Amino acid sequence: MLLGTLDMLILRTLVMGPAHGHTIAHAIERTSDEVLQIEQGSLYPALHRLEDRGWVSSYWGLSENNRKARFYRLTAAGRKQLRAETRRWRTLVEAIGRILGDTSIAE
Amino acid sequence: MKLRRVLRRRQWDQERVREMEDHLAHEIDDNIARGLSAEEARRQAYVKFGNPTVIRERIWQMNSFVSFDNLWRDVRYAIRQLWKSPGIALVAVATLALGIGANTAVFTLTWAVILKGLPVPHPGRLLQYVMDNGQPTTMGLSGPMYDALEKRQRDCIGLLAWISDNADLRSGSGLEPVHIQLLSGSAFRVLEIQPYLGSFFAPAAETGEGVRGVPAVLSYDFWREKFQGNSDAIGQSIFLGGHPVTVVGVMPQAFQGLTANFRPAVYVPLSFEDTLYGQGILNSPKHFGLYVLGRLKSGVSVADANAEVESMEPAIRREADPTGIYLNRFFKDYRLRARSGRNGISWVKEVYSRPLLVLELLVAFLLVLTCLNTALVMLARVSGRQREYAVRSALGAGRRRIIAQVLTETGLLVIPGLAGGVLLGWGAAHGLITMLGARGGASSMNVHPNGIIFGFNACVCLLVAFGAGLWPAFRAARTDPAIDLKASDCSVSAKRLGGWVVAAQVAVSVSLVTAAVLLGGTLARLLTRDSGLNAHGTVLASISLSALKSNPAEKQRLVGELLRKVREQPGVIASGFTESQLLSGYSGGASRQFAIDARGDLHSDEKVLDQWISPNYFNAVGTRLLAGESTAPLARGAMAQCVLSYNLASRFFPGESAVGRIVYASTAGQPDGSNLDPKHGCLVVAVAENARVVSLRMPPPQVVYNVISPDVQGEANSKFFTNLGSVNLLVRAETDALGSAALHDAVKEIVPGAMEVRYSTFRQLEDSDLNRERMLVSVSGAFALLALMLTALGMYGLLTRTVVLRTREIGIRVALGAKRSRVVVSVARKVVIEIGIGLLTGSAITVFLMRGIGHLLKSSPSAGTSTYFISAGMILLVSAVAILFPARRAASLDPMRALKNE
Repeated sequence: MLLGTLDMLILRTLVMGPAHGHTIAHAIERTSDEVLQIEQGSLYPALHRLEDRGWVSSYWGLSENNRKARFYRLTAAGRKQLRAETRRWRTLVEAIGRILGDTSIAE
Repeated sequence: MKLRRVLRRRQWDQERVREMEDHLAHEIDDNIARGLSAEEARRQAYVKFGNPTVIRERIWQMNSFVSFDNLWRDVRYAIRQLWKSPGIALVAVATLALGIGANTAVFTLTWAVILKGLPVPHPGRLLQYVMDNGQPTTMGLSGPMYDALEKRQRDCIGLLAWISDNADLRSGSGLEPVHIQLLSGSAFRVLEIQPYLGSFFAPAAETGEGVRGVPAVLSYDFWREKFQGNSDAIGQSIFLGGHPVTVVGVMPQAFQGLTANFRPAVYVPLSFEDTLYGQGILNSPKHFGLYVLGRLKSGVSVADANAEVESMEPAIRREADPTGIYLNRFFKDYRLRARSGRNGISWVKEVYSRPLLVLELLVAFLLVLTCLNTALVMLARVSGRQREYAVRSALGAGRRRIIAQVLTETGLLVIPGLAGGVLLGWGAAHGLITMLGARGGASSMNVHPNGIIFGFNACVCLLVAFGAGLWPAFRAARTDPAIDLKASDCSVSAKRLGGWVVAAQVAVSVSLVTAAVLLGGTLARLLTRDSGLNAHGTVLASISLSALKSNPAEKQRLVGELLRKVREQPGVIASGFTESQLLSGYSGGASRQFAIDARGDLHSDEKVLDQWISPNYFNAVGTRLLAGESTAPLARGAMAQCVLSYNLASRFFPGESAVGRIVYASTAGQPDGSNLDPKHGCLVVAVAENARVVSLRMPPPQVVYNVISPDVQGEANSKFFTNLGSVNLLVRAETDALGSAALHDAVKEIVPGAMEVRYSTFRQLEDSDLNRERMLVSVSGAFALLALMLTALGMYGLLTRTVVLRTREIGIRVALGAKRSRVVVSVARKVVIEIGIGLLTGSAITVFLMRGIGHLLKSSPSAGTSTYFISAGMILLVSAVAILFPARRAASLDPMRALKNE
């Protein structure tokens, strides 16, 4: 997966509401139609980093099947960061798309 | 921020472990729900999750100082490496310790003398008002000047004035002489200090004795000593010079008076001076003993205040001395000036601040040298381990890691160097303080180890470590694994060994040595040139006559008897006295005199030194008379008689004999030559050779020696003895020991026990007069020796290492028939070239250093090329010795063994 995109995907997932690690992992996989397969463990260093930067906050709670789990919630700063990241990503994709555009016609 | 994370990383780790366990359990549950077996569900969950331990480690690292862990590893590795060659490590540490030691010693002194300041809040805001004549002696203000200044000045929140004095103190336990300081009542407010105990005297008490009598404040030390630190000392009466004063308070412990190293025991109000002496000193326009400090208002600088006082000076002079007698005649050269009062009045600072700055400059050079030597050691170490760096680099170590490792190794050399240096420097600083000499009481100077001194040295050390380690570190990091791994240790590094360090070393040390040779030459010239004084067998006793108050007859009788008694002692050739201090470095006020020569031309000079001597004075100090005979008027009412120094005689009476002519003192308000009253004149009876009576380092002054005989009664004599505060008895004997014995015996027999007598030989006076030069010479000499040693050591180490690394090559060359001499040349050639280049660049650096020293000492040391050649010769000699041993080793290599020695 592209460097730095995992952070963005996590933040995007959390827009729907607080979630724990397992849910986030599955949400990313499902929403991307299983295209984005992530090593689930790598989620945790990313979450740790996001929390350290103040973009998400966390608390212990009970999951849907009554297990204890740590829930992550988007903070205001995180929301702002997500908007910025998304804009940046769109510009990037557009730019790359324009470059690739010519060759894709030839294809 | 980062530290908080380090402290919490363990707790976080626990949390992550639980979280990940939950995650896995979740996943396993899901998998089982999808119908997998328990075993398979578990396996798939782990496959999908990845290695939990690795993830934990990643998070752990996010919360750690990776560089700190690395540093610890580097330190352990560096210790192991240094341990492999303890000898070299030891030499490197010793080198650093010497360099840092020199820095500690000089900086400790600089700190104590220049930087420390009075122990009051914000000493940097204190301002000092002085009468300045551009020489390192300080003259105070007169009482009227102080009043006029205080009234006019706008730059300070307030002024204070003080006088330092001695008085006999009588308390319960008996009589003892103590130092006292008389302070204006404003002092405590201006200094912003609080009493340790009791209270200070208020400005009101200044005006005289209040209800409780004259208040006195004790110094902390005196209070501990006399009153055992008892608080009931407050309110007790003590007697100063026979006058009662009441103790009202105790000074803070750190405060030791406003005159450096004077350490008064008792502080009393300024007005007490009149009680003590009854001479109205405070209102007299001729007594310039009042030292003045002020505290600057915020936003005002010393320069501003000096500008202000310069503009006010004419008005102050007019108001303080309307007749102009004193200020315009005796103090014509002196100007009222303001300067930093951070240290109060400090004689030591006046005399030693410039020499100390010179030493700081030399220390900087020495530190550069130390730095170079350490760099050389590190280069040698690095070059021998090229392969190791290549391996590390090939295994993926970044440049940064290798650089950090070499710097760590340098740092490890520096830390024990710092510790040793500070200890060494501490001892040396104490030695230097004793050397600054007894005069001015520098030996009682307080130097305590403190954080500032240590911190400064630690910073310098860090700089040295960085400077010395950086280049070798970059060299180590510039490794090319592909080449370095293939090459053998020996062949790669010989060329890369020293860089141009030896050239730099030679350049720096040649300038250091030149500085030392030059300063030594200056001292030798001062000591050997004809001073017009003869130190051999001359001994001097300074006797304080203040106990006789102003009883002229008694003083005259005492002095006369002393002279006779001394002359009777065995071995004595001549005896005499002078009123002025010889070789004190302080010329006092000059006076204006004039004379009319045979052609009727008027000559006048305002820089004439007036001295009062006995007829036999010239014999006693060894000044030759060029014409006439030194005699005193024998009859009452006869004209005063005097001897002129040769320079004054030839100025006043050019081209003729001065003997038999008359020299007059100028009268204020009248043009020279208009008043030829014989009462103001003296008959010239002789001309003496020029003598450097003020200081050996100053040009001989123009002197009128007024001849006074204690055996004659008369008005002039009576006036002289009335004002005589102390007399310097001089004796010339066959040896110093005989002279000293004669003086001691005579004094013991004639002088009452209570009088203060100080003995010194003329040789001691000369030494203490030139203390400043002697200090500079011995310290710079030590630096020069150190420089030579370091340079030699560097060369020796470099060549020895070269020979070791090139053993095989030399072996092959010898085996193939190369001559021994060719081998030696090939080994030593680069070093010799470097020495040459070093000497060339050194000459340029020397010019700069000499200019710096000349600027600091306000003199132009004649940096002749001969001085430079002498020091270059020394460097060459030392280099030759340093090169000799490794070269011989190279020449005597046995090719068979050299080749086997793989």
